[in-house]
Amino acid sequence: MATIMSAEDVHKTLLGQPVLQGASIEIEEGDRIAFIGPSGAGKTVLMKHFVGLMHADKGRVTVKGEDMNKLRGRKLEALRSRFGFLFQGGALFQSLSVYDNVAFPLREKTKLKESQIRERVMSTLARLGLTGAERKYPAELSGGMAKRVALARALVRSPEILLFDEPTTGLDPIIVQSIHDLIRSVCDELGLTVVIVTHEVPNIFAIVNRVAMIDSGRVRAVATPEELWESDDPEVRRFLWSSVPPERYRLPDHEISPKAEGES
Amino acid sequence: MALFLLQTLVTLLWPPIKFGRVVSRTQFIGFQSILVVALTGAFTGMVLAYQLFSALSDYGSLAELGPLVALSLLREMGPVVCALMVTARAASAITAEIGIMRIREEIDALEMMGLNPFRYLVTPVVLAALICLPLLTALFSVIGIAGGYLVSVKLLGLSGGTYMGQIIEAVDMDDVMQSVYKAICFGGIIAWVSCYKGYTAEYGAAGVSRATTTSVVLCSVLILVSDYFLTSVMF
Repeated sequence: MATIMSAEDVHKTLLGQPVLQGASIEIEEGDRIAFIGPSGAGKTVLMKHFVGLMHADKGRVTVKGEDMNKLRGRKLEALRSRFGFLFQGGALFQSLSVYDNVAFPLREKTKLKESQIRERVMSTLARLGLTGAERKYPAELSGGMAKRVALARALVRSPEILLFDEPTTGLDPIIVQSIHDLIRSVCDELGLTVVIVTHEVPNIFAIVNRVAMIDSGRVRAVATPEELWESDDPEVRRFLWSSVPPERYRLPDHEISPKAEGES
Repeated sequence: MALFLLQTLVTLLWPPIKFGRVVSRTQFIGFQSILVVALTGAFTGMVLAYQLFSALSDYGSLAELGPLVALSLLREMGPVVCALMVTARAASAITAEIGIMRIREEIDALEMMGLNPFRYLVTPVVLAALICLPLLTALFSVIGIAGGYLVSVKLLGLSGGTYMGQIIEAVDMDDVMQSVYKAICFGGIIAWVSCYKGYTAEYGAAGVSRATTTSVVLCSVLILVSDYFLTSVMF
């Protein structure tokens, strides 16, 4: 498949701290890829480079052939309209109701009539199980509901690429599972390219077809979940196995046992 | 900061302008400041009248009391004190609001929707401040003059005709325009600094707190410094 997004030797320093130090990755159309790695490794920063929310100090980031370091103005706006971005905290506008939050991008960026907007908003809310919540304000929502509203807002303009920044942080395991199920069903239904920054290892492996392990500002490994479990890289092995309780050394349809470090 | 100002000016000159946002910001900066501006205006005028009455009575020049109160208010006290009150009431709130939107990633969300955050968050504040400050300053000066009247005429026994008559004779349109120009300039400073500090707030509650404090301090200092230069130019 064609490469839709790529980062080549990207460096980024924030507040004097080097965050990305030569990160390189290619994401293909239709990919479902998870960025995993320790906190502060640069996962979110790398993802924000793909939508131009951050610009590389050095290196090159391309999306659909466009150099994100050079893209500005209307061209950048047009490219961003192909993305849906679910922010870590949801980034819902606190002064607007759920309905108005979801309708906001349609009102501002399309010429749809209010009746058409209503139809689209209500169908998106219904798809995400939010019927009846449209008059609530973000402050009245639970963490899981707020994430679903944010997902509804990200989906309402029918994006081609969906980016998730830690979509399940701070949620209980049952809500985490329901959000994962929701992401999987929406992506299956719409056939989107998906990038998920997450700490939910190994649960996220049931949703994605590739995993990128990011460590110290570099992409340490990119592989399928199955290949990653078999990795010989000691850092990858240490990260993966430290996140999994021994009784859960199992992936759906793929039983795995820990290898001794250095074993091939 | 200069780049921020440049981008704000470009957005201002590049329609569309979000009139709904301008109205809501005008309501916040202007309407909600009326009470505090009226109160400070009244007491400033009253204090001025007391102080000047005492000084002028020594020289037998009480006829000059009205013009001195009016000119002090119109040329200096009105624009400066009013701008400082709006800084304390509105600039701090604007910085905090935009700063919180920054750390909650709401500004990034606007950008991701292909919307220009300057058009939604900054230019409405600039337009509202440019509209509101001259009006609030006028209110401050008028109420201040009325406060001076109350003290000098009703409390201290000066003739009302002397107080008002001398004001009409001494104050001309240049004094009023000087007040308006200063108010517009101070309005621009308040909007520019408060939005910039909120927009560039660092992450976390401490970042927003620091941004709010520096916004108020910087606005106040810039108002007083620019007042000196404006006065020296218009003198």
